[in-house]
Amino acid sequence: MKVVKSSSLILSVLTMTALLAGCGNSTGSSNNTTTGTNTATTTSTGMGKPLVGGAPNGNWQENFNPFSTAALYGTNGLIYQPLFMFSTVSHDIYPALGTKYQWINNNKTLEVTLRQGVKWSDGQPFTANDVLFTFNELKKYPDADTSGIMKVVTSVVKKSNYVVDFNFAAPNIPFQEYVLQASIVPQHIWQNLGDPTKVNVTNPIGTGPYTLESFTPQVFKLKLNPNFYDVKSYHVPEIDFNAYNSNQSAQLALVSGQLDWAGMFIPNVQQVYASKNPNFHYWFPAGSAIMLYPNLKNPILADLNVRKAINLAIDRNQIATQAEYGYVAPLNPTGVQPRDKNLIAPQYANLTYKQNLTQAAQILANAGYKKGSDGILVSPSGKKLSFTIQVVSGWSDWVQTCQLISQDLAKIGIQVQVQQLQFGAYQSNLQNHNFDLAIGWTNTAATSYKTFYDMLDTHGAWNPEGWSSPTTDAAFNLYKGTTDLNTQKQAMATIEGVMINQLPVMPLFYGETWYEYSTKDYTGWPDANHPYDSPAIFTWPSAAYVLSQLKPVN
Amino acid sequence: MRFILNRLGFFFLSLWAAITINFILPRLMPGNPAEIMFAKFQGQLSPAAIDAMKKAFGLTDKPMIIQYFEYLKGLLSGHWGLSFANFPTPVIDIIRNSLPWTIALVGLATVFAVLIGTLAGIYIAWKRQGILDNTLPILTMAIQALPYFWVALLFLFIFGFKLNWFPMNHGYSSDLTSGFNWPFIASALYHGFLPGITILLGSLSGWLVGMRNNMINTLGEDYVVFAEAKGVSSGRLMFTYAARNAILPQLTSFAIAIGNVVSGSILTEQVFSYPGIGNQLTNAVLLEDYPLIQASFLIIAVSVLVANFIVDMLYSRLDPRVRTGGLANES
Repeated sequence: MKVVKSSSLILSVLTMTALLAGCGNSTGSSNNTTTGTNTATTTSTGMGKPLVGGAPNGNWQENFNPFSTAALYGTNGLIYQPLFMFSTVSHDIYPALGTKYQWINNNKTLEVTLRQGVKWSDGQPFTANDVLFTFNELKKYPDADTSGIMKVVTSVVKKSNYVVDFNFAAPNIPFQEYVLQASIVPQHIWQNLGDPTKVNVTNPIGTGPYTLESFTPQVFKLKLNPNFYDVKSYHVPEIDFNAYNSNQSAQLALVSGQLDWAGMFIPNVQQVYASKNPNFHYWFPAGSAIMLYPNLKNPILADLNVRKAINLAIDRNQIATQAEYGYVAPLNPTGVQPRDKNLIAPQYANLTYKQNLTQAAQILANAGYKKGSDGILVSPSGKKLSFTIQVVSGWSDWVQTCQLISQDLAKIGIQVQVQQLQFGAYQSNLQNHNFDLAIGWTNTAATSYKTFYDMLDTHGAWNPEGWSSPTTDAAFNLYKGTTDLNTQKQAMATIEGVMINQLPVMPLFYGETWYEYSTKDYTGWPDANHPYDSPAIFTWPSAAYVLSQLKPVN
Repeated sequence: MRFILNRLGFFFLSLWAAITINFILPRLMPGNPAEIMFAKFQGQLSPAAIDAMKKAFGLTDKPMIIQYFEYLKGLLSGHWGLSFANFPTPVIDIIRNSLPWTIALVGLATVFAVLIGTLAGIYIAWKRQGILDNTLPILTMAIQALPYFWVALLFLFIFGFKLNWFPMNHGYSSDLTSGFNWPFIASALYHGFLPGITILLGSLSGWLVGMRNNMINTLGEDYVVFAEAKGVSSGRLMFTYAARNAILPQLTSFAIAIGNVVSGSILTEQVFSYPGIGNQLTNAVLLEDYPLIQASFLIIAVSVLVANFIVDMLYSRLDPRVRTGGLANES
């Protein structure tokens, strides 16, 4: 009862002040309007039209909560900002609320200098207290800490009004990506909201370049925040995000020129989209590699000879052209993505894949595998080489890849049945090592370290094959403890050696990042020649940096 | 009266069964919602996220039976929970945003299909072997036989993309705010026309052919011949004597169709990006969003049951034999 009373009191005070402010304004209203028109004319020269983006994910649900895994596009990066933004296609790190960071105290403390003079979109100043508050929320409500930050960071300390120290139990350089890229929320609002994961934010107050203008389940609009500290960098006055229920529907909108920006799979994109208008472009940069995962708990697949034979028998070129429409660059057998080619050891840099059925058959024969009467190989212990390969049903390119693999392996006497599963079942089977072979993704991150750590470390987050070896664990430890590039390279070389020689997993092709854009109203989009950040409309906060680079045509 | 009580009893029994199955089914699916959300992010979340999300979602290891009673309590008190896939949006908000669109679009299209189909069926049966009787059933059946998805895409491509007569997506123009005003309603009607007409065409033949065949059977009955011989006017003969009896099976189908209106038309919504419940439900099933699945299926089950209940009542008015179980006079 008390709570209700006090809040209604606050409310009446607020209305009173609003009324008073309104009175004050009305006297000087003639002044206001003139400045208003002035700014409108000055900005219109540097400003373009509203930018329209779209996604085929169904209706939007109003949710601008940066702690939520289902936050709407723009929540992280356009409305709320992190300290720094990490490009996932280049090695750039762009400053946002932070201006400088450094590792001190034997790489056990990450010290961040904050930007001064920043204001929240309600006019309150941004300070170190907001940063402290945000990370303390993660500590207080572990549900909100989806990156597990406060399990790695032991304490967050305010050194001065604009310097914050993050103390780590042990050096973990690559983990800075999570700490520095966490969205910062205003203490003066969130301190009253309780558990941040349960808050449905419909009137977001952030420090970012945009604020919410309107929301409907079909479209939500963000408009430029005139008080943003770097407002000069942004030339897009308004961004509209349209919702579509299916790829076909979004594709029609894209081809008819209703969308400036999208990120979806389009078969034969050159003919279907890019050839329709000189302003239509696409660029599908390679993301992390898509792998063939063998279950190493299966005694036959645990035999390196079998994995070597499988690896040699697969025709990657055919997969790339037939199942993946030749959309991405040829694969390096280490599985390291093109972005990180400086981390590929020289002895592996020029390796390529080539199918070799004779050699594959030879390896198996030498290891004592013999063909049975049905043409299928039998292991020395008397087991048939007959496996299933699991894939998510409806992911058509992956399904086709599995069928091609099955055909290739049949040629050397290994029987493989393609098993299409609903996503939940597939996911759970892989996580619980309940499969023979499976096609699967690797985790995307700003560093190759993270992708390979998740996949090959004993404690990795996405290690369906079940690889665990002291060699790789030691290499990951070496990498994360250092800021020195040469030591990092040395650690990566060890991991790459394991990938090439031990075949814990078998790279198939690079996963594409879907991205289509129109240069009718704006230029400056990332492309193959200017790969400054992830171009995908669904990768935040990267997409916020892309928007800062757009320039209106004329 | 006993009949009504009987039906009411059946109504509540099937409602309970539906609610219980609704609880069990999603939990039989492999995997769990937290793992699926985690996988969807492909590494942007740390493994700690699975535990964090499980906690946030309230996925506990409590015994099933306790979860079941908590679920019943939530349903009865109107707390349908927060959607997992759109955490923390309340399920009720998602339904409130999408269900009215579905009811308006699919509901209107169904009512029109029933009206047009039934009236046309009566007419062509009356004028059987006429030119309409020889063409309409075949034409509508041909349209219904084509895959709906294909017809809808074709309409969208021709009338939306090529000719630009109708908008290609959404339920209303994005410049307008939803409300009860003429520009908005006009925009909604304009946007709904193409999806509506495809649904109508896709379901017309069932109503038309069904009514025609019932009519022809009834027209052959002795009492119709007798009434005709006595000189009853043809309009009265057509509607009061023949159609009233022939329409009974149509009513049953109508009840089922009305129940299905609420589940939405997934394909229509996908092709035209219409903001209805069908697409939400598909996504909810794919992402194992238990609260949203449960709430949607509950609404579907309840509306099918209510529609059936109403038709049962109506039936007893139209056909006294149902009420009396075939006895001559009501007990």
